[in-house]
Amino acid sequence: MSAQINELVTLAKGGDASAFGDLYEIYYKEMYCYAYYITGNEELAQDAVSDTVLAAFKQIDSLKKPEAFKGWLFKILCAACKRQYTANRHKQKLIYLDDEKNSDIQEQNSFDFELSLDLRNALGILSKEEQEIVLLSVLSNYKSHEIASILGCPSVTVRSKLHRALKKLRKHLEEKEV
Amino acid sequence: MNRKDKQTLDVLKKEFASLAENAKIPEKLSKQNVVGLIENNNSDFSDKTGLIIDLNNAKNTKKAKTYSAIRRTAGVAAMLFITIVCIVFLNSSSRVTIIESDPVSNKYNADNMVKYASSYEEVEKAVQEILNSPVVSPEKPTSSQKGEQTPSTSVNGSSPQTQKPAVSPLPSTVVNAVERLTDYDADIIKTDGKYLYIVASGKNAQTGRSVEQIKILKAVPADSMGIVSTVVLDDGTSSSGGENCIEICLKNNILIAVTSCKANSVAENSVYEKKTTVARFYDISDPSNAKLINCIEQDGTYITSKFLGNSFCLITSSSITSSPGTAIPSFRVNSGASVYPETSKIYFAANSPEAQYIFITATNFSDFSAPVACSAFVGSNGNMFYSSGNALFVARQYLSDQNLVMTEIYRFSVTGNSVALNGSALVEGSLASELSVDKTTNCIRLVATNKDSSSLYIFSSDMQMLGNYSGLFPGEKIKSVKFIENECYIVAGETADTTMILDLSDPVQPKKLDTVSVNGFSDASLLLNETTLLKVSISKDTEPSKIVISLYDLSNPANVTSIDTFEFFGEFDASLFSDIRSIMYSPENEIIGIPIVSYDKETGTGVSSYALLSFSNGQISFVNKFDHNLDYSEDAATRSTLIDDILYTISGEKVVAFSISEGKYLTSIILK
Repeated sequence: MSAQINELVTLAKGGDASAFGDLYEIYYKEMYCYAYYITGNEELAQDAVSDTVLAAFKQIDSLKKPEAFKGWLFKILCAACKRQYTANRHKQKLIYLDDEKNSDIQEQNSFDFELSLDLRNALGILSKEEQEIVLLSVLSNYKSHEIASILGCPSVTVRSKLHRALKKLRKHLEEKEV
Repeated sequence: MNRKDKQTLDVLKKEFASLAENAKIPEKLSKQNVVGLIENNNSDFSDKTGLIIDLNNAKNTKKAKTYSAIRRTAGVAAMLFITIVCIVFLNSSSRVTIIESDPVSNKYNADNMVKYASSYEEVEKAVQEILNSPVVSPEKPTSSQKGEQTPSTSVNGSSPQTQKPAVSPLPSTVVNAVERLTDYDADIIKTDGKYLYIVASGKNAQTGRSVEQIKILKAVPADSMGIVSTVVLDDGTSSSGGENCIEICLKNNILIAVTSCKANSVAENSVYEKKTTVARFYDISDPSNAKLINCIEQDGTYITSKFLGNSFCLITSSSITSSPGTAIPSFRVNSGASVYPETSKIYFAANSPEAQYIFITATNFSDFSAPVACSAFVGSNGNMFYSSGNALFVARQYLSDQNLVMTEIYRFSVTGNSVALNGSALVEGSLASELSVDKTTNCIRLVATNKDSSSLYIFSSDMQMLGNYSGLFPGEKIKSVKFIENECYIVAGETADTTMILDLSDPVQPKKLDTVSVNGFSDASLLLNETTLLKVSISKDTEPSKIVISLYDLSNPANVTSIDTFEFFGEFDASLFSDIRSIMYSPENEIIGIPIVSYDKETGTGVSSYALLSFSNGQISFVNKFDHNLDYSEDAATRSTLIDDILYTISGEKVVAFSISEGKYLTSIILK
């Protein structure tokens, strides 16, 4: 698989949009899930992913190592999500506890709301940075030094924040069970 | 990572994996639409979203591109101007330093660490100068540390001139580092998951000389395990010397066997013992018929071998004496003519050189017909070797004119057709750690100890000093140093271990994070993953003595905690732990195997076993103990390997197979 990705990256660097499309198809679900949970809004998530894809295609020449493509792509995605989130705070989706409102929202979402409500609420108690770290670890299986490279912070910070974030999540989810 | 965190992460991963799998991607983000947008370079897209596409916040228009280019050019010009101004106004006697000044750089001119020669005559002349230079210290290193070319008795009764080394013997921490230099991929046994490749020594019944072989065993299925072929390295018939197989490694269906050789030669009425090292490459695509496809023999005693990119690097060293043909090392491919390094690839240590050399050859593993690259470094036999990417680092210790112990570090670049020196650095003191290269930044980290205290140094990939942290553990001996990602764990302490943790995430300004009193980083230790350390030690303080296996959680570097401990009680042989490769580690099965020789004090018998322990979910639990030899008799199992459910324990005499799930002996094969 990694050889295939390297080949696609090389083709994309040569301007092959179709090869870039194949690369996008490998990661788009992960990207969209990440963007959705960071921005909290489908529309913003779509915009963040689109911005990322276009920016990545334009700048793919600057990528020196094809094997670093995924991390590089997610770095752009993280920045795009941050911009979307910061510029559009008012559009953040509210979490409703009311059952009636929940069912309306469920119809609109492309995610299984029932499955993700507890999780989404739990993620909501984390700081943005903690959310980023948890999502990168959970969605993309990144190790702490890889997350550190994507977010531009020391890996010791990543590990400490991940530890704190997981502790908070655990506490919140245990309280919900009770 | 502690157990709870791991469990929480596992739960989250399951949830998100299912979400990601089932997520309905909006039509706007379908592959087809996205490719269409990219191809059309549709600027309407950003208009629809109202958001900026380009990360530099410039609109994607031709005008914006031009404006952006002008801004970039202006920016570069401004930076250049500022830089020039800084240089003009700086005091010319001081250097622009971004860290506290290093006292070493004020005493020595690190730029003059290396000399070059433009002809072989100049090389011989430079070597003669080294041989004629006064001896600094009369102490001689032991033969296990350094390669020697020692003349034996001469024909006419007079002894040829011998060269005494210039420095005292190495401290034990660095000697141990030298012994552990061999890449963990090379060992005396290897497996490809179906066959076992085992170095086996024997004796030729007719000549009485030792025989050196590699036994190839079909290991799967275990109950029909058997030797399919034998590769003979030395059949014990040669009268000139013998070969001793040091290690083997497997790569791409090629088995590499590295042997050390001794041969006697006569020159100027004296008999000299010459040491060489041979690397043989065998095609084992059919293990029952291994074919020799390449052989390189080079002067010098084996130091280490490394894979750097596509190159197999063999590094040897030797003393230089006044006997002819010892100044410049050479190699031979497939018994061909001797090949010497070009003069541009022969380097000389400028500071306190010794009459020794290091010889590096690089064989192109993808194309054996390609010329072998080589380089020689004269003036030292090196104290430590480390490789990362395409770079080989050599550390050299010597006594300066001011009687200070100094360490020079050299960086060699190894590419397909060249081995060349392209960087050097100098620190005061002897190395207390192996070199460590940060995989993200390629910075080089090390700890050195002088008579007062220890210091941590960080260099850029081209050996420029970036930062340091000095004054560590004044007056104390460093027991061990470990670099784990961006942290450095330094253990010292006279009675109880004290571990200092340094944060290296900013290489320019390393910071002290914490000092903890926890035993976890000395003795034999393995990093199981980025946050879990396994330590194995023998404690003789109790009666009976015990083997202690401990797991440590490094996820919060400021609070290193012990996760779990497991103990065996009995009389044990500690020497087995001197080689970390004797500990079998299977990350996919989360199992480790510890070699144990336990003695019965009353009967005097010893049992050689391997104890298997599981370390899943942050806990150590005992799996089983498998007895390799019920009557020890100096044939202890020193290696083991796991293939599927079968444990193979290996000693010099035999291989024994056990079923782990059934906990029983299956079969054994005699190797000799």
